[in-house]
Amino acid sequence: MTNETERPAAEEPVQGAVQEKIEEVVAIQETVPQVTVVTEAAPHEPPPEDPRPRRVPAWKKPEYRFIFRLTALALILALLAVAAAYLILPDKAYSASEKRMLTGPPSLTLDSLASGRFMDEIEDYAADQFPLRDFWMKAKTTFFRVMNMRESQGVYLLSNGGLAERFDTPDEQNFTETTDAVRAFSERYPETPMYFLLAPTAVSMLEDLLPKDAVTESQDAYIERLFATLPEGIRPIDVRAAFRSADDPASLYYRTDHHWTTKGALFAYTTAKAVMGIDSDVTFSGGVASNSFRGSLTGKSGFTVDPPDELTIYLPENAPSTFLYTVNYPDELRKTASVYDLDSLVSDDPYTVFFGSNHPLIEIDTTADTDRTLLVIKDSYANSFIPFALTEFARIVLLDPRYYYDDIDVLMKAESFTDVLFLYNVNTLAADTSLKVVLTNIQ
Amino acid sequence: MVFSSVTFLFVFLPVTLLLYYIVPKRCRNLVLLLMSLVFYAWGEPVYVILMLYSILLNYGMGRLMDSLRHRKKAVLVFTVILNLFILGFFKYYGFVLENINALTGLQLPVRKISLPIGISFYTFQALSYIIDLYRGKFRAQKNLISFACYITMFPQLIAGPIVRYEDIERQLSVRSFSMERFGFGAMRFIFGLAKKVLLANLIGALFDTVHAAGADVSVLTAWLGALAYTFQIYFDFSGYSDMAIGLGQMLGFSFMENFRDPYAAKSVTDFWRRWHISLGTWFREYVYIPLGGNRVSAAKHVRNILVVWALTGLWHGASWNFVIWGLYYGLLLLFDKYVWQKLRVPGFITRVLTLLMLVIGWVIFSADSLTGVVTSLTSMFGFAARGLYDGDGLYYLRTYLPLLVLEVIFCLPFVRRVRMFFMKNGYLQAFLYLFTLALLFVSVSFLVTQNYNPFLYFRF
Repeated sequence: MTNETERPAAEEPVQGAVQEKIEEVVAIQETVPQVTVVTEAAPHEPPPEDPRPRRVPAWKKPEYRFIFRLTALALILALLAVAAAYLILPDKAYSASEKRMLTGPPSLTLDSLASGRFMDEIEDYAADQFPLRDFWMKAKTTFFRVMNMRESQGVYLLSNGGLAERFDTPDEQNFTETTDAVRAFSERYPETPMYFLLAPTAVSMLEDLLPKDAVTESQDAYIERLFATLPEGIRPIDVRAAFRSADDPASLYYRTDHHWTTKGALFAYTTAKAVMGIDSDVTFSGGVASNSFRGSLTGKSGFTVDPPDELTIYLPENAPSTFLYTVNYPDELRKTASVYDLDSLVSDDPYTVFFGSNHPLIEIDTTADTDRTLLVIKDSYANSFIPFALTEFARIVLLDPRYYYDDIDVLMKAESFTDVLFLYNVNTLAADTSLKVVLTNIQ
Repeated sequence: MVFSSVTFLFVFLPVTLLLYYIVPKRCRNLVLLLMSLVFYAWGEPVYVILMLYSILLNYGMGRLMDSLRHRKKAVLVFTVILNLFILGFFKYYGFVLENINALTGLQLPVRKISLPIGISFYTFQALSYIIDLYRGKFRAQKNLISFACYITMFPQLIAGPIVRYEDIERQLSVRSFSMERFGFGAMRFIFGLAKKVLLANLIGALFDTVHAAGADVSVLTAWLGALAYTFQIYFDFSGYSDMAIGLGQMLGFSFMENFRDPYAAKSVTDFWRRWHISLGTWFREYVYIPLGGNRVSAAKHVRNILVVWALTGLWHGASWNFVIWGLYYGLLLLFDKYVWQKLRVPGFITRVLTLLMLVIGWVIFSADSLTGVVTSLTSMFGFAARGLYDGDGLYYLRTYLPLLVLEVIFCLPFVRRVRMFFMKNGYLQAFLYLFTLALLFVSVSFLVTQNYNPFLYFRF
């Protein structure tokens, strides 16, 4: 290839000279304006050397020599530094700040190469293993804050530095179907008192901290609409007043996660006790179990939150000394003597310290001196709530409709619960399509 | 692969530059060709074959035409038709069949063919080669590697500028390299990267939000969405062109400018001298002038304009939206020439109206369907579902106001003058240098954590 590439007009003896010679000629011609316009070249003549007039290119001006050299140097160094860091730094398996596994090196096969999967994986790998990833994320969050842009992927950056997930317009049909199913379920068991605790989330309880005019549906309106549909057999548990009158409402929600804090759950339990007629003098005291909790919202939004959240566990101070309980996870054929899964504290999701993770069914049997038994139909907000209620029920069954595929009526008849509690947060319930399926499940 | 990705910037680019500069000068075209094939295969492993076919076809036909004394025209016609057939098949096959089905009621099965990236760009480059070769502007390229290099060159492979062979022929064999030139290109590249990653992507999020809301918006929100797209498409595309031109300089090539402050246009006619210049030049050279240009009767001129602009619209995508968008501009250009220019309206008013026409143009361009166009335009012009303004609109305005101000500033021609002013002074140069590094820094921080990086010109 090479001869022809470098010597465009080998027939011409003058231009058949060495490569460098040509470059000199070109260099001169680039600086000398030419005005000849040749539109048609005669056959078998070499092409005209750049026929248009040309100014001195910027890179040839002596006054720019430094800035261009320095820019060249900076880019080369940046490229080399990152490329070297890729090679030297070991791969990380997990990002604590984003709460997710990072991509490892992909395997190269002919198949993955032809389909382009290998390339996609390399892209993920290169982005995930970028040196000082956390530092770059922080830089980006700072830039967003400076630009006063406080929303990313449906997550708002609150003015206290925490995060809150937007409440999106619920689907009307799903709302009707869900509330109809709840009502029908209650009417099938008229003897069983039922309760509905619908927890607001940070986006409405901390609305003072949202960006001004932030776009979010009203959770208040949703809660009131839902409570209005409940039949007589289901008593609403409205925690909003208690939350709003708290000394520090922000402490009732994690700054990095979509859940309420254990303190928020305790506030809700205090309200629920009154409605459910639980007359108990058990008090609780809390202790910090983890101070490095980075919840789901940091990963979702890409905003970094510093410092990470604390996760508190409350224990009863004055439970009867003989009080004991067992927790049974039928799906895992596993029994424990604690609602806490302490290993989870160091996992990627410390919130799973409550009952490990989400299970279709959890059965708790206690030595509490009562006949009351409780079925909780719930989302994950209940996981930090239920530990407060252990001493008040002889048996508690937690049912998560998102994972439950059995017949709820069989369960109701077999267990004959004295109480049924629905416990959801607004965001989950509004998007949930599993509750109506489980409640109307007729097999 | 796109330029605004970690893989390109920190894996592909260092490897390419390293190889390119350590091999002897005579091997650099080969390195560039091989790396360009890797670059293309990255996104389209299978379609590399199609591109290689296109290269061999045009190279071979060029050599054949060069060796013939007669019947050159037959070779030209054959090659042009074959090129257009490839483009037509891969880009418009589904569109044509759908329309035939709709018109005739037939049920021809429509197979979805994924569009080979950049096919519109490299086909047009190949056509410029073969047509100008026929016109005798240059001799055929004998070196296959140089020719393949021209078609595949990765800086402009995916989104232009559409480099005409005429402009680059000499550079394919001889080009100068220097550290200053590399730095000049690097600076241009960094500015382009920042335009794409910071200005285009961020405002693009606003467009997406408004777009998703559909008809459920206020007048204010509808306008914010339209403006957001107006800025997004400019910074996305011109940023990409800047990166292409910058990369070209880093490798020793000078490509033509593709944008010259389009939103500062004095009229719609002026806008098209400033927007996607390489495409406008291409259509002028190879369609408009051969049809007779404006040196014909008024009726023929009208026909020429409408043909060129329907084709320009269609080039942007196989959908009626784009055809209508093209014809919209064709009519505006005719109106400008035959009516508006004779009215002697004050320049200021023409500028403002031009901007309004551009925004409406982008609404047509950005909609998913013709009904989408109608929905957006009725919302913008007073018939919005949510009234004149609402809480959402105010929130978007408040949230995006600082960014919108920045976007406006960086559309203005005076930014370049400010940059030249800084370049002229030794101390101010230092600020400009630091600013460039800061842009690189912030852009990288966005690339590393990007969860939003669409690329508008991938469809073409």
